[in-house]
Parts: sequence; structure tokens; C-alpha cells
Amino acid sequence: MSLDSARNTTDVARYLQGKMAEDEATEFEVRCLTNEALQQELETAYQLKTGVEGLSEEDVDAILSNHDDNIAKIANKPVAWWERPMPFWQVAAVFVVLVAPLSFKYSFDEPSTKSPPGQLNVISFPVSSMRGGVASSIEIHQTGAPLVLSTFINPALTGGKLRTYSLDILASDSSTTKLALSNIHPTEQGMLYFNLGDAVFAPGDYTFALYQEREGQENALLKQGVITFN
Amino acid sequence: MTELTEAQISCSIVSGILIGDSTAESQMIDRYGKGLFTVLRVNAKSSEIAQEIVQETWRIVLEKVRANEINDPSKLAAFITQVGKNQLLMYFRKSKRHTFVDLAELPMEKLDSVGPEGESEAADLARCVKSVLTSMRNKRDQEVILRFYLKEEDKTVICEALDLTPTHFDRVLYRAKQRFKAVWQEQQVML
Repeated sequence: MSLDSARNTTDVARYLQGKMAEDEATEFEVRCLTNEALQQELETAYQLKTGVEGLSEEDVDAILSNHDDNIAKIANKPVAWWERPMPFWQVAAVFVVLVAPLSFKYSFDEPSTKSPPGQLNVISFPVSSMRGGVASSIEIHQTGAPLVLSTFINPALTGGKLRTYSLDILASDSSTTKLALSNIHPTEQGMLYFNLGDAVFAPGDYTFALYQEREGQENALLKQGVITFN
Repeated sequence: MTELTEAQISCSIVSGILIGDSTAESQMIDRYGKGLFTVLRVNAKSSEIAQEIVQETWRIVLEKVRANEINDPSKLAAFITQVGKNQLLMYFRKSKRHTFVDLAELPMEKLDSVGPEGESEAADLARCVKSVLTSMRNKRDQEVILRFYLKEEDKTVICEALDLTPTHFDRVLYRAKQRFKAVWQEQQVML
């Protein structure tokens, strides 16, 4: 295996796992357009990964049926973070301790409405299911309860550094900023909560952008896409 | 004679298209088409959608190049990539498809009912992977594949946990991919 080949393998894995920053992902994609070996590596790794992810628990059990306990531990497919049960008190605690005191500015299309006390409308969106800046969409049914957008940033990817994040919600043509939240800290487990509070958006499509904030540098775009409010 | 750089090739293709040379157009599609499709397919998680976006991308790129609207002809690949990604974004915006609902997260029995070609392809891929993993005699090798692709653990973490050298890890992955390619091609021939 050549050095180039090893580099391709590493880059492809990071790309497929969504571990590249936007700029790096774009550079990778451009390289992919002219590098046949890289295309082949991406194609095969994508197929292999899709195939592994498509295995049922029974398949994995069958494959590992004769294995020892150490291997059996990975037989269960990991529960995606957005599928993990999160008790209401935990969300509420994060909201009160981490999110509420942080300053944010926003503009509303319509006046805020009071929400039923003690309720939160928590919407999760994954960062890594699709590559960097490529399309993603979130649909939000506004219930009148304070809205919290949550996502997961793998703490291992920040190399132990304390990072902060920002979220912008713009008009669909990106002409005006409807809401901007900044200096948001993730929890120790990597959960990010963006408190949209009692903001009420006129029904329709908006554009969102999630950034990792970098001191003295341009913020890194982690995710962008369409957010639809009903 | 030195080999042309990517920037020189790009400029030459753009110049050719500008003067109406249809072979330059074909050269552009030949050179960048496969890579564009691969990138779009991975992001769209569907060959069908990727194919659709590729067609639209070429339509727009050709229009822009013919109209001399490329700011930097030496960065043609970057321009094509950007147009492709924008088209993909527009596609999902128009269709409002929830791309974050990962098909891989759905139980296999639901895949058939979800619909298009992409899902049945995912089921085929799963069958191939199962065959490859089952054929692996080394338990540790199976664990490498499952940890890397299913749990998305870092190479260093896996190497440390399984007491592997990075070279050994690369070898396991390489062999698995080769085996997978062979099984996949075999299946495609049979279909």
C-alpha cells in the first residue's frame, strides 16, 4: 500500500464520517474530480460503509456468533445520538444552565407568543449524516413551546479543545439574518443546544448555517441547509 | 516534455469550449464526470438522484463556460463541484426531502417499502458486506471493519484497543475492500 493510497484511505474515511471542516471537504471533493484512485477509494469505502450500516442486528449477531465477549460487545448497532432517550429534566437543565444566560440577537417575523409553561420543543439535527455544506433539511412544527435545536459534535473531533459554536438562520435567499446565536458551548457529552426561545417564524423556508467559532480566524462552516417552519 | 498541470488542462478546456470546439466539451465531461457523480452519489446517498443532478450540473456549467462566465478557468474542477453541490442543495430544497433520515438507520425489512433504487442498492450492499465479513476468518479483522465503519471509531483508537500497528490496520482494510469489490462485481455480473 503506497503512501498516496494510505492518505486516500484516511481522507476518505474522514470525509465519509463528516470529520472534515467545510474548506477541507471542498478541497477533497475537487481533488476527487481529477484523481481516479481517490474516486475509486471513495466509491468502495462508501459502498462498504453503506453495506455495514445496512446490516441488521441479526446479521451482525450471526457474523459474530462464535466470537468472544470482547467482540460481542460491538454486535449491537450503536444507537444514534438523536435516538437516545433524553429525559425532559436533562434538556431543561441544559437550557437553564448553559443556554439561557448566553446573549443572542434575533429578529422576528411575527411577535412572540407565550408558550405553555414547562414545555420545550426540542428538534435534533445531525451534523454528520451528510457531508459538510451539502444539503440538509429540517422541518419544524411550531407548537408555541420554546424551541431548542440540538445537535451532536463528537468531542473527540475537537482534540480536547474548548470550542464554541454559532447558528445563523437567514431568509431563504440569505438576504437577511432572522436569528443569530453565538458563543454556544457544548455539553461534556458533545450535545449542543441552541435556544430559539419563543421566537415565532412565519411559515416557510429559511437557510441555516452552523459554525464552529475560531478565535482570530474565520469561523468554520460545519453544516448548512434548509429549515422549514410550519 | 513536461506533463500539463490541472490548471493548464482546465484553461485549455475552457478555451476550447469558448471557441466552439465540441471535443473540448466532451473532454470536460470525460475528465470530471465520474468524479462528480461519485461525490454527488455519496452526498445524495442515491445513484438515481446523483445522475439527475449530474445532468443539470453539466447543463449549467456548459452554459456558463460558453458565456465566458467562469471567473477563474484554471479552477474549472472547483467550479463544477460548486455547481453540483448547489444543485444538490436546490434539489433537496425543492423536494423537501429529509436527508437526515439515514436509510441505514431503518430496519432492513422497511427498505423495500421506502421506494427507489437507492434503497434496494443499500440492501444489496448489505448482503455483500455480510458475505465478506462472514468469509473473514480472523475475528480481529471483523472487529476492525465493524468498529471503523459501523461505530466510526478512529483508526488510532482501534489500533490501540486491538493492539494493531497502523500498517496492519491499513492491510486489513485494504483486503476487506478488495474482497468487497470482488464480491460486488460478481453480484453485478449475475444481475
